[in-house]
Amino acid sequence: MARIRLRCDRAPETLDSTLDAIEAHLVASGASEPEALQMRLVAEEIVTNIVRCAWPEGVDREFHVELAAETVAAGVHVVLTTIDDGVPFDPTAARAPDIDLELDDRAIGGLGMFLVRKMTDTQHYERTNDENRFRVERLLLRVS
Amino acid sequence: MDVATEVHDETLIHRVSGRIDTSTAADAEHKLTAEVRQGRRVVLDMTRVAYVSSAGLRVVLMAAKLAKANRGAVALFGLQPTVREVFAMSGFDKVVTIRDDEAAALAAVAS
Repeated sequence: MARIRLRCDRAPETLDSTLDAIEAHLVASGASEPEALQMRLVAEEIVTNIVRCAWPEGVDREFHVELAAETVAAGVHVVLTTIDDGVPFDPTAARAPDIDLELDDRAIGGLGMFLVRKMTDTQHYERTNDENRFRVERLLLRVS
Repeated sequence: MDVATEVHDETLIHRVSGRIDTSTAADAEHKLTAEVRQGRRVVLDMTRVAYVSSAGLRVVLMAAKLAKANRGAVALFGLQPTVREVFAMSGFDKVVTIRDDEAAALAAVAS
């Protein structure tokens, strides 16, 4: 199983290098480019939430992103986990935006976690040792 | 993210390349929403955009709302499959004008 663990901070430049590493690791593990881009989006939404909301503004903190990609019979099983010591925040409890609203009524915001839920098979949150641990999984199917 | 702009009669065509994501959203907002605030007609050529995250969707939504508020118009064309999918998943394909090609997008903002 190919696994990477990335240390991230709140600097704007870190986001792209983190997402680039995730995308590259997935492609190297057998994901197609469209699949890797979908997981890049998932990671971007989760990581930007942490960077923006986990701690007060101006506080320099680090957090971790773990990515595992394992070839299984059905395809490539991807597990993306973020670990941060910020304020307790359960992304799975976020309210979904109403995607059937008209233009005037659509709010700007709320989309990130909605897309995460749509693009992953499972989402799991837990709070242990004063840390948020958020794990999403996706099986990239391969038809044989 | 880069934007090259052409003028086509009364309409501006912004040809966008790269990603519209958290890192580029402020730049994208600056470059893509200025004219719709002034009530202009704007077409966004998305053929060279490989990736749009929710931050990018927000910029597009903002452009659409500003166009409506200022009696401008905005239409997108050339969405790549992965980008098109993000728009469809989020329901944005219903609130933003999307067309299959440049001619159709130009026609959409002119009407």
